[in-house]
Amino acid sequence: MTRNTPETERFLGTLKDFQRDTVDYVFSRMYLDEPPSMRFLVADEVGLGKTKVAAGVIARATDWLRERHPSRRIDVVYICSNSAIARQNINRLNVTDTKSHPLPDRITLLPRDIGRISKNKINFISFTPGTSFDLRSKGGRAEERALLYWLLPADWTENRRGSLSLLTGWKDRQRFKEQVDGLQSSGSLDDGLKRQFQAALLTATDDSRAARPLKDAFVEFAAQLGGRTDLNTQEREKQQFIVSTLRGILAGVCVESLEPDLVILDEFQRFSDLLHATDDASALAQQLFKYPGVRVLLLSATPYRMYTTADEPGRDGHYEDLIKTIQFLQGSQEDTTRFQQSLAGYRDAIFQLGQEGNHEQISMARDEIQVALRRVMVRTERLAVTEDRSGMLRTVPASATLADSDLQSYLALQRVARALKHSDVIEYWKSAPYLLNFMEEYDFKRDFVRWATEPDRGRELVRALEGLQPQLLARSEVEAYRVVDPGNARLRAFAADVFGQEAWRHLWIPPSLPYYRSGESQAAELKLTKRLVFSSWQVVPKTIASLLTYEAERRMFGIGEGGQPESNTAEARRRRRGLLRFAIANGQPTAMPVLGLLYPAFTLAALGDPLQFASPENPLSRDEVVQRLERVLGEKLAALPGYTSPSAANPDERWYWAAPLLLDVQENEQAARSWFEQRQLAEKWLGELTDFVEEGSGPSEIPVTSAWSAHVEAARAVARGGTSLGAPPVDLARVLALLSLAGPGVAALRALARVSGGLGRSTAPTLRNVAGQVAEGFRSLFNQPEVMALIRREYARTGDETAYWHMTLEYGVTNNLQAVLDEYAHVLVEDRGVSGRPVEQIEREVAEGMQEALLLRTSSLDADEVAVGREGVRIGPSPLAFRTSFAVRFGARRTDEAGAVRREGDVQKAFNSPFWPFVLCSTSVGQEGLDFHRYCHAVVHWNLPSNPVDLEQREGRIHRFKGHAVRKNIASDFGARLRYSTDGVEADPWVQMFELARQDRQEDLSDLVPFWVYTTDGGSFIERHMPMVGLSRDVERADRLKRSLAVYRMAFGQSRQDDLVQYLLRHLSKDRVDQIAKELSIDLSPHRKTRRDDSGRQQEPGELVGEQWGVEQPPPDGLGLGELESLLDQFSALRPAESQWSAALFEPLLDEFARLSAR
Amino acid sequence: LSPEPPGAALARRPSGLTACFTLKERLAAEPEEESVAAETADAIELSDLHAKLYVTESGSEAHVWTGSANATTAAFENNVEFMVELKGPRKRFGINALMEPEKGEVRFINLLEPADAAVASESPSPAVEELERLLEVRARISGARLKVRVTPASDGGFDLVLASSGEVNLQLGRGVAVTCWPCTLSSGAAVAVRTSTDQVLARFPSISLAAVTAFVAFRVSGQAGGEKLQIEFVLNLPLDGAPDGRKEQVLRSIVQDRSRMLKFLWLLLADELADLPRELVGGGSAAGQGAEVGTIPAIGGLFEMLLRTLDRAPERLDYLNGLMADIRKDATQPDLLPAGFDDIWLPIWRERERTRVPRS
Repeated sequence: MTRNTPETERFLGTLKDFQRDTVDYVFSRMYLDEPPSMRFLVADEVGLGKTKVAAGVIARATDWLRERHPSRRIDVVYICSNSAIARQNINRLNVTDTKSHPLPDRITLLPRDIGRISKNKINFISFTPGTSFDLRSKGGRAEERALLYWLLPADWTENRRGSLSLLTGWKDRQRFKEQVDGLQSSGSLDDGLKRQFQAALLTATDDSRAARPLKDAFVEFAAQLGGRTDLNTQEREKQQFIVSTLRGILAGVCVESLEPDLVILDEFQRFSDLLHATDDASALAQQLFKYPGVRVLLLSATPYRMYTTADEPGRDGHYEDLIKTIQFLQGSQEDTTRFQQSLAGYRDAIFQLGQEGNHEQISMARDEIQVALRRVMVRTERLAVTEDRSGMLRTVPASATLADSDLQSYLALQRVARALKHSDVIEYWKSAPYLLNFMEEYDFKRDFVRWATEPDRGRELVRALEGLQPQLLARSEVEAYRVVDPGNARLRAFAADVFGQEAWRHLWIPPSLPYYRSGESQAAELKLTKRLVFSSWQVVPKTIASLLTYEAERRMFGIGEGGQPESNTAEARRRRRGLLRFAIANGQPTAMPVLGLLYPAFTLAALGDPLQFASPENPLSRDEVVQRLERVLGEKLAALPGYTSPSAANPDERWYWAAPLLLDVQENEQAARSWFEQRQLAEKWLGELTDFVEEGSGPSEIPVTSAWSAHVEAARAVARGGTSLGAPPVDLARVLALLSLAGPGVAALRALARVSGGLGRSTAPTLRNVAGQVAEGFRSLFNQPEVMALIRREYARTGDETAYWHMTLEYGVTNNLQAVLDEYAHVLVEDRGVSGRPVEQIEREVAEGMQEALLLRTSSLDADEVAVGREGVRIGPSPLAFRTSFAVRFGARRTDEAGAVRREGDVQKAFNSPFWPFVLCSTSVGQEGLDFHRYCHAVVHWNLPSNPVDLEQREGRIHRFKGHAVRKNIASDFGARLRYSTDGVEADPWVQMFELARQDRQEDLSDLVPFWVYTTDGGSFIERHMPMVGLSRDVERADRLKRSLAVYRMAFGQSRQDDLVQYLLRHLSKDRVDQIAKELSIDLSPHRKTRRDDSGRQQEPGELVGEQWGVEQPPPDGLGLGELESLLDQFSALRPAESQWSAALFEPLLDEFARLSAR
Repeated sequence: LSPEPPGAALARRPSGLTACFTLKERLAAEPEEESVAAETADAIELSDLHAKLYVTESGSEAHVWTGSANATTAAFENNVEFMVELKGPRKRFGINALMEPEKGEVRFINLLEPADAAVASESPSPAVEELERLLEVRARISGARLKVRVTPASDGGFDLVLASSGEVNLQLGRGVAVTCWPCTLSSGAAVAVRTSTDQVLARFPSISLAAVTAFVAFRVSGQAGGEKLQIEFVLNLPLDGAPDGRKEQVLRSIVQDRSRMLKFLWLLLADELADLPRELVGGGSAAGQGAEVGTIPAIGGLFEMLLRTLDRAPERLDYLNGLMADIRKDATQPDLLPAGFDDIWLPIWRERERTRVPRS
């Protein structure tokens, strides 16, 4: 037996119970059992923390290896498909006490770093297959080629000029040369690797003439190139060949230099070829897997396709995938053959479901499979054996209603399609409106654009488009913020759903646990959640994002409801400058109260904490809370030196921002002053933001940074003392109450302190700095033109001169800002993986997360303007730009460009925050692997997938750890049992509530409850929305899909799964299906717990209960013979001209009826 | 219909055929051939062989298919057929290799004899001759421009008359008889068709309203060598004087519940068999074609079908609209239309009305 080090124990202690079970099971299978399983698969469902499990296995394996070989170095190789994920996860995987050093993410860069590697006690090395193994026809990064230059023997590169040209690739020659020189000066390449590389080069040959040494080819080609880098195609190919060959040889040498102990393959199904194939890339990778004594740990939620339907390409994908994977894991053909026999036996047994004595046969077959699999894999599922995922899932009825104009557009589109010689447009038309405006790379659109420019055909299009005007977006309408009809039944239903909840009134999702009552409609508002929309059509996300954001903005501006007429142009936006902006007028800072919003006041944080009032039993109202705090703060104010009785006539308004500082000085002079005396306070306060010049402010502005510095100086002067203030305004105490409840600086300070160590932290300068940075994010939010319009309409009463900064406070208080931020901070601690880390790190990361979400830049999507004239159709000239912020598009990028990837990441983070976007529209790309559950428990299936697994995958995105629905339900059940605490982990109300829920759950359940699954009466669910027109094909598809969800798992390991599922659906009733599906499920969870059935009887998993499995006959169906004849008659009445054809139609029917009647 | 003997079919050989062969009745084993067949039997019966053989060539390859598929549209487009495909070099399996005789080899051609020769060499059998006569009668009946005339009968029923618009001479010939009956009645109601110059060919007095139909079944029978031969067929004829309310009545007998109503809608709207939902068409085989247990009846796709009709044949919607009105008129009927039908029907119907522009 092996003992775990304290670090390992500490880490294992942070795992959920089933994660820890998995770690222990995997470890003992891979290291302790005799014989051990050299390869093992962790196939937990997405969102259950596979990375944590892997980290735990690494920790235990490291301890085990160290105990046996104390002086040996340990190499952990981590391979995943994407270098960004690799970088992120490599840090999460190392939970040992030894720091790992950043190492190359490309294997061919190893010669630079190997020296370091051999010195380390433990190495975490990450690669991606695309850049490290599959080197064919790839030139690699300039860095790698520069390295090659120095690794080549001197007699190869005698012609320096030509050699450099050869290796330059597509890069600028001069820059490449600099890179090469830089590498020389930076020094040490590993001599051992260099020698091995050069030795390997001796046998390398040219491609054209097999016997010719590669060296000759290189030297000759270098001479041919000289200083040229403008290669022709043929030369490019030659260059490509030489460079990729060199890289391949180098990669081989590098792989050999590694001494892998543990290889982790993350989401390996994305590069599963590496495991089986025989090409060079796979051979290279397989060297790693075959290293003596190495263990290979595979991680994947979908190690093989779970289910393939008949109409998918590669019909037997499931079976082949499964067998290949099992073969790799078992490493023994004999075992795999036996496993295949078990699968065949299982299928036979299922097809005999109805027969006597079949119970035993079927459960034996199931057990055989289960035992074989458990030796090489483990899988935890989110109680997913039932269709409703243990009560968390609800289908929300949503019927899409047709408008008359929809049908006009359908007919017009059909005419266009006929003109363009395209087939039916029904599916396009059902999916999205304004197709001709929003479509991009569709053949339909391309042909349309081509035709539009040809005179004759253009006129034909004009005729076809007659009546389509309402279905074309007009610039004049859009720029005037006129109502744009949804134009599509699904979008109409969806918009009604989203705007019916008045989501546009909310800048953030209401908290799951409000601390006080606020507003009439609070209960309804608590239902609000974000929407994750999936569509398989590219045009859909673009259209939804554009039109919903447009409508949300329109409503915020209050167009048509007494709001100012606004115009929707870039210029008009520029004119609406942010009201919370720092400027200098007459040498004086103009926006000191705004500074007050941003000030992280620790005294207010402690005194005015709204959490102390949280008691869902008998909650105070918003106004009661404000009044109480007014009294408390009034007393504190009275004790301030220089405070006089308020004056209504001639108040000194500096009090509004000065009072919080003065209270801090009064409370803790040292803490207050030392913060103010920080060097470069202005930068620290608002962070290293280069872009807090909000959109819309022109370059002619005084640099905002210097204006801000002037504000900071003015505040510093007051904090230093000696400034005498006049009579305070009468509402000072009230404003301070609002500030202490929802001042962005105060609220951020409190939220961050709660998750890092308690409110005691709120005097720490580092914490106050990052809180200030979060507050700056709010300033940027409140400066958005539509946000200003919304807040001013809600809080400005006529004749009232309340300043905008004051209104933002009112808005924050009404909308429970503190509760929102507290919840979000809790979420972010998990999200950023900083639980248990040093407090400063927690604070910094959580603050950064908040800031990123608040500062998400709006992006624009372009639609084509399509104008129909008398003579033709004009496209453009300039696009109609739609901002997307309320709703955004996701996953449409076609490039791997860094900018696009970053944007995607930012969008995901913002969607996982309480702030906008509220609607995320994805093509199916978002289905795999990504989280969207933080503030969203509603999935909208815009188009249905054909495979039930895809449906589950989609819903799995939002059914994850501490998801929004779970938090709402937990808050509703345990909010009342909260104890107000300002210290330690208990300061975080969410830690308290989850702990209460964990203690409360049934004993025999794992930590999946309450962290993944938690329901309560009248609570929230994972909502499945399927907007579709009634009586359409989609309705039937949805029904079929839902039914096959229940049974597809029974088709595990079978070829032609589709047939088996259809067979089961046809022969078993719904209840029976559920029952059998439950009984036949293959349990691969790490350890078995005994469960109880309803009668309390102990029941082993997989035991078959129930008396008899009768096979039900399908009900007889079909019309009688006489009816058919009458039908024919009806036909002749309807379509006499077509009787010939109707006879053809009915001939097969006649046969069928003849058969029926013969029975 | 009884299958036609090969000779009859070949007499109407389609154009484009270059040669026709038929299987030899008996295949005598070549005396010098030491085949397995020769050991077990002297000759192989081929006359009932039902297999089909197709040969195509592409490049140097030849494909030979054999199996169940007839050379019919049904076989190639609709039916489930079972075929085995053999691939090989054209030299060995191409058309010439199969169809050119080669000394010392038994090739496919050796199983065949020219079809014309078969006809010519044997005098046609009496049965074939008789059948040809019956078919000619059928052709004359179909071409006679018959119609069905309906008149009210005294007892509240209707008299149905099969009439011709002009003079008809069916030239029945000796021993040939024709009977007919309305499809709505059983063949027991058949009466002889009179072939006099009278324009009334048959009369069915006092039948019920529901039995009034435009579909008339005919049976033409004859005799050959003491054996009775007959063919049957149905004609869809113009219906004169159909009583008011007949359609409604028929309709009511068809459309008694929601699922039948749905099927009816489908049949009215479908353009092709392939448009119909699977569970409605049923399919030919007995095994496993039932609906899934507990599925909703065939309503999925009705919306798309209505849209398509709006686009391609909007006038059909007019009929449908009348039908809706009829159904709703009858207050005793339960609600026959599926839930939510009006939500899709009304906008579609409004659009139909809007676009009903009388084109000048």
